[in-house]
Amino acid sequence: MTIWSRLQNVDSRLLYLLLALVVAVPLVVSIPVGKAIVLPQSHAFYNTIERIADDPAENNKLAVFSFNFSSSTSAENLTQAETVMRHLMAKHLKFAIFAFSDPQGRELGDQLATKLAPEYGYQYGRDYVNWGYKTGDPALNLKALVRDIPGTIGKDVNGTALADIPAMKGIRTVEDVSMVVEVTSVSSLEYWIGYFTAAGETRVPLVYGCTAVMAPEAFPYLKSGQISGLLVGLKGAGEYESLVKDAGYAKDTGFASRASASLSLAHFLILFLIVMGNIAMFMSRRQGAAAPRSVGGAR
Amino acid sequence: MDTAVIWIGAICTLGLYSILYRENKVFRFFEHLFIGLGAGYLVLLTWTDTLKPRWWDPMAAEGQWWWAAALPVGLVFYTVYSRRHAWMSRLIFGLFFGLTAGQAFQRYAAVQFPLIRSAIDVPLVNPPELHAPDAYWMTLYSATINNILFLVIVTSVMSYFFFSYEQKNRLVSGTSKLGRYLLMFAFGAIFGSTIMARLSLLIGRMYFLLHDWLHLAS
Repeated sequence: MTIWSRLQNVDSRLLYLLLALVVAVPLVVSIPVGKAIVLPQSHAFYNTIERIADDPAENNKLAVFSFNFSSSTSAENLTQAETVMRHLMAKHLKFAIFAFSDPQGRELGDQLATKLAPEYGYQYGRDYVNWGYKTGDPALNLKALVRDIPGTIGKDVNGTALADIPAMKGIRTVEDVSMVVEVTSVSSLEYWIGYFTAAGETRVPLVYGCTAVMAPEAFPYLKSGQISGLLVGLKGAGEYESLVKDAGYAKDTGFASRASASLSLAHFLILFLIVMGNIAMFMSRRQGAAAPRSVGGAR
Repeated sequence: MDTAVIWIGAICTLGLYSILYRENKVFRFFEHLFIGLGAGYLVLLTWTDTLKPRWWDPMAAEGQWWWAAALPVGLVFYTVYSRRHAWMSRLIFGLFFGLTAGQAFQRYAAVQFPLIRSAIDVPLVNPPELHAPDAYWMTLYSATINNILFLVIVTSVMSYFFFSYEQKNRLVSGTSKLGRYLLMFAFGAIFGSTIMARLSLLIGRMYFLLHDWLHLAS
């Protein structure tokens, strides 16, 4: 067996172990990777929130913070949601936690807001509200929200009627929504664009945080103006953490920035393995092609 | 309590990752546990967040008795399991198919038309997005090159998918071949993003094990 065929038959468990080590070591031993380069789509996300916070006609409206993901993608989505929520709280924007795709979303949103609220002086009911998880067809839910938010949601997660919650005072239709923050691991974007954001007198800005695997499909919406900003997976969260920290809205960066060395090294490992695998395949083919000729020659 | 939760989380994580070594009963146990928990949680939340506040409470506590009519209508779905009464389920399924199809038309128009318009309704040189507030990273040259590239890529990829006639002309077959390679670039980009997404999830779990459980990470 040649070295090339051996390289093509490496035990996959060895590769898993190697990957685990490459990911784990930078988490234990701090490796400096420099400051995050913030890409335009993350800047656009940040600027949208800044613009709304600075606009007196918009900053007293309600932001809908949609948590359409479960704990399985929390490394990407919850990290994005945390840094964006810090930004919203630092700018004193009212928001409503909402989930229509995954029931875990309302709980993850609640845990996150409960964790951050004391740091920013936020109070449940006064500054934010949890609409909970609404099952059924998302299209029907969102179309109903356009015309009647309190009637569609009914009560918050504590069983209080929305009309009795101070944060919901004066919030009745899509016209009273300042923006939609959609953090998701599923195809929920088209529902917001199709039924909600364009349904009012003026388009409601929609900012979008998605898992990295979904990002290539989201970029055209950025160009068409249907979304106003985009965070791409853990990398996008790291960029946003950097923006939020630089503006003084957070004391320090978060998990995404700490994980960036692991992410970069793991990418190098995957690239190295792909290159080695391809070299081994080409070399094996070359040797395989040479072998029959020599056999034929012997005849 | 927190310590117990972290230990349970760590044991579940290790149990699920044990599949990487080989198929085993520990993995199967935790897999079934997670599926069961997920299904149970969905049923609970459907009741507490939707059915109770929007259907049960108005009907039982607020005198809106007419909501009771929703129950037999909903139960008609389940007649699909009876050969004798399955025809009834077709009525309700048909109603919802029609409703969903109508909504899909609306969504398609609202989502796709602005996308198509934004793709074709721009001048090649000096496009309007160059003057948008967030376009500080664009220059006249980069925006123009970007638009020309876009046009070339769309034309090439579309020519690849014309199967109605044989592509004998060298220009057409060359463009089609370029389209195939460009599609491969796109698939490569999607694959790269997929790798990043999966690695992020692994890093999240490793951080939980090393930071929250073993207190080794900073």
